[in-house]
Amino acid sequence: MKIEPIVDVHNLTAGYRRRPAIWNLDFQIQEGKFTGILGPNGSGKSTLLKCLLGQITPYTGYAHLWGQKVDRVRHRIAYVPQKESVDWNFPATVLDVVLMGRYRPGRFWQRLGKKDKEAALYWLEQTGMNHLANRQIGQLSGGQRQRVFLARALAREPSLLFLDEPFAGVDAGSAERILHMLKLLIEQGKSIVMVHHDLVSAGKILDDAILLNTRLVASGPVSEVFNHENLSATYGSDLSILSDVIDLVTRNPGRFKDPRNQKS
Amino acid sequence: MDLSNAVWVFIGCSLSGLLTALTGIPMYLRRQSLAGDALAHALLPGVCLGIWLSGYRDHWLVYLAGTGTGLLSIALVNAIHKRSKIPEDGATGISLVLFFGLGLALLSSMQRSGFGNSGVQHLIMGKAAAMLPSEVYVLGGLFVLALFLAWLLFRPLWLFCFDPEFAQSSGMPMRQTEWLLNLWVALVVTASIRSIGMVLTAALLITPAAIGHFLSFKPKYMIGISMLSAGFSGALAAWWSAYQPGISTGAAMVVLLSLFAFFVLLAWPNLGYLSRYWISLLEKKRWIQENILKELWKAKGLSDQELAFRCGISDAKSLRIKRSMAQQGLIEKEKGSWALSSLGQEKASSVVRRHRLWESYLHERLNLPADHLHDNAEIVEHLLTDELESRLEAILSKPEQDPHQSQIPYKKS
Amino acid sequence: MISAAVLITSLLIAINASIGGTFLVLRRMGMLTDAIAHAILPGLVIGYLLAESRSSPLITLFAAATGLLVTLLIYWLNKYLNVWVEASTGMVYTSFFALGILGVTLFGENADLDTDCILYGELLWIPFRRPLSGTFLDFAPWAVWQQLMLLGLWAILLLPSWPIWKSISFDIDFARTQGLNVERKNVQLLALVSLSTVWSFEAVGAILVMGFMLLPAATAWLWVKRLEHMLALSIALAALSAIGGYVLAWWINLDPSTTMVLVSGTFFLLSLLWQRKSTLRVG
Repeated sequence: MKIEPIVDVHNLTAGYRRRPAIWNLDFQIQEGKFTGILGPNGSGKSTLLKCLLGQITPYTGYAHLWGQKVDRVRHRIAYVPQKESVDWNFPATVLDVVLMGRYRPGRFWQRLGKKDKEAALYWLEQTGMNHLANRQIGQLSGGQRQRVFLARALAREPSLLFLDEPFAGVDAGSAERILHMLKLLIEQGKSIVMVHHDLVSAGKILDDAILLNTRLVASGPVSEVFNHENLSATYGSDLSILSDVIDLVTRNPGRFKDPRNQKS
Repeated sequence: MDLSNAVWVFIGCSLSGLLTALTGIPMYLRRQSLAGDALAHALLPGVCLGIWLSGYRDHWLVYLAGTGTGLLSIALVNAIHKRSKIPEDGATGISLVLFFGLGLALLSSMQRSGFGNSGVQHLIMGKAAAMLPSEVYVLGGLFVLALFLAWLLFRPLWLFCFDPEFAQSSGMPMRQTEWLLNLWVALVVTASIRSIGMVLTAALLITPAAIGHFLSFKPKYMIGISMLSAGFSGALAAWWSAYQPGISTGAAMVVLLSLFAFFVLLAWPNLGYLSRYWISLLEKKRWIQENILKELWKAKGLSDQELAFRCGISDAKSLRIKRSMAQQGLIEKEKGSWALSSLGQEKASSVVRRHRLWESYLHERLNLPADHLHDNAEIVEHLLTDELESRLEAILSKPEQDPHQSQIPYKKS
Repeated sequence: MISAAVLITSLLIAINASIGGTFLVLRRMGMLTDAIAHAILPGLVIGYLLAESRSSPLITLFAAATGLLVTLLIYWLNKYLNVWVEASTGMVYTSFFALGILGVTLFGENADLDTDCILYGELLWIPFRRPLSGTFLDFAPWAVWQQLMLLGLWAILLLPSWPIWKSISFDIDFARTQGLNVERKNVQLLALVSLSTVWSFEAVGAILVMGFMLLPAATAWLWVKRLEHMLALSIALAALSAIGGYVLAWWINLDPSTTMVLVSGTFFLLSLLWQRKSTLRVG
């Protein structure tokens, strides 16, 4: 019997300002796996993540979660954005930020209760941040900020967690703690999709990997995917032709067309 | 109700201060303060149109048309900066001046066609003396509604302002939230231009929020401080204009509010610029005093010049500081040169102890070579607390000597 | 009746403003024009009160200095007290403007200033304000001489160090690493913008000055890519909207400075729509 994939991406092309950053992606992610999206800078990792989260609309194809559009399953997912994406001078305490995770679509008018506060404190304790609950968020170190973001996402009690480079600019202690939490989640049967750039650690911590360089290089279990051929295709230098072609397409005054359809 | 005009003005000004301050907070937090300014200026064509059509300045048409052009100006800002290469602040300026120009054109043709009552003119600069009870009722109603909405939606709104990406990923309807917020701002600004004037509304949207944020990072305190400072300056301005009817209430309100803001930014204890400068001066003085103690501890009977040289300060300064130290009973004159008192002895040995403990720590735990330790310890010796010191002692198990083979002077227990 | 003096004055004002605007729009300092335009008011009031005449250089000095002071204050609040830059802009200029308004309403009669003049300016009165009669300067109104002087100052500032200005407008951080004295250039630019605002204020009013600065520059940016072209096009657009606005105002009996801004705005909106349409067609 075939297992229903948790993430299903089909012929996905997307980008910004008419410039496609990812082309014709097809892959699936299985439930209960720790999956990494890997690729060099500018390979479209963040674009892919934004598509999965429904933040940008694809030019072609679709990205479905549990066979549905992301808008219908938002209560089952959570997202840990890059910590640079917000202003840390913002007037809020650590606890305020974690409580932000307790919101669910369709009940925005309900105020938070005791249960929500207990949940927030629980996740702060799990991430080892409970002694800082009343600190202003700007006073935290990089690793602590990432842990607060993780606690906020986990306070949503998701079945599928998305992370955008959670280990970038994080001290060793915090990284270890975050990784420990993520492994616990996998043990509990949750799924994780993580954008990652460090190949060395990727081989050790991930179950599955999606190798990306504008197009899909390979996807599947790490042991199968991580071979020399795939890695040099992902991180190799000779991709200038591809980016030249993208330039051509972007500057071409005609409506954007799928390159495969153009050939036929 | 039968209240004198002054009382109405008083209530109206306080209310519009409280209301605009509360409304400005989400604009401020979303880093869109200046869009609020553009919106306030852009009310002019709508309000003129409303007055022209209805003939009254507190007609519902005025509120409707004012809110409408206010929203249009925000839409124009978005259209310009999202769809062209003009950056957001340029787009804001363009939208502001276009709508305001349109309003001025309308206003001048209204004045020329016999509509020229000064009531319209006062909308721009604000004149609360002419406030109608009906306008105060509108402000009061909006204020009650604002309090209720703030109580109800406080946390989702805070999330929306802090991290829109996360808010969207948890399913918040972004576009709707954004436009409802803009609609609310437009409505509030339209209702309060009678007292403040549209040119200066920006101040009441921005300055209270900035004061609140400067003084507290806790959301509820921030909101409270913002509202109180704006409400107070409104009340004071109304009171002032009761004595000097000629002045523009809006301007008075903004001047009072800004005075408070600059006072806070400059002189608020521990936070203001001058207070922080003062604290840093005191801290610098403490460092120098501790250095003097340390040098006297190391070498007894130092000459004054030698001491000043070792501490890196001028002779005059060293003399000044030594006098103040003598007053504190840290040092005393002994046979023509300075020596430590028993209190000074204790303090000096504590500084030296911290210096040498820290050097030992760096050497043993971080494996720094012996010639890399001193400069770092020169700073850390002034900063270590008693608690950290005893932890260092415990970690290193009370070493006898530091890496330079000098004795570490422990407290006699 | 169309007056040549008014036409020439507004033409020069528009050209000078558009030069400053080009750099400000490129450097993302567009709202600074708003701040300066509002904030010179207290400087003007103090100047009027001290000089007790409208043509004293003291007024110019005070007002331009206030404009510069405001930009420095905004920068200072942002750098040393971590006030977000848009908030510090909003805070500072509104406080100055409010102070000015309070001054006008308190001492307005003494200073021959009123709120109408602040809003609309008094372009139509320009021809009657002339320098000392009997000298050769009498041949043109004060405002024309002021604007010609300003044009000369722009030329002195920009022409000898054009590559530096280009580098700064393109990428200020890189310019800094090149060892260019960016801060000094900034102050020079802002000082001239401030002066330009002060000398246009009497003619076109406080808020509309912004339109003269931002609109032609932004319109030009939509069409061209090089700084030289942008500056040239922005000057041309400014001149065109000044003439067009003046004629239109005379035609439909409206206030001339408002009409000029509206004409300039129409150019901008049409360009925006045109570009939008062309990108829609291809994308």
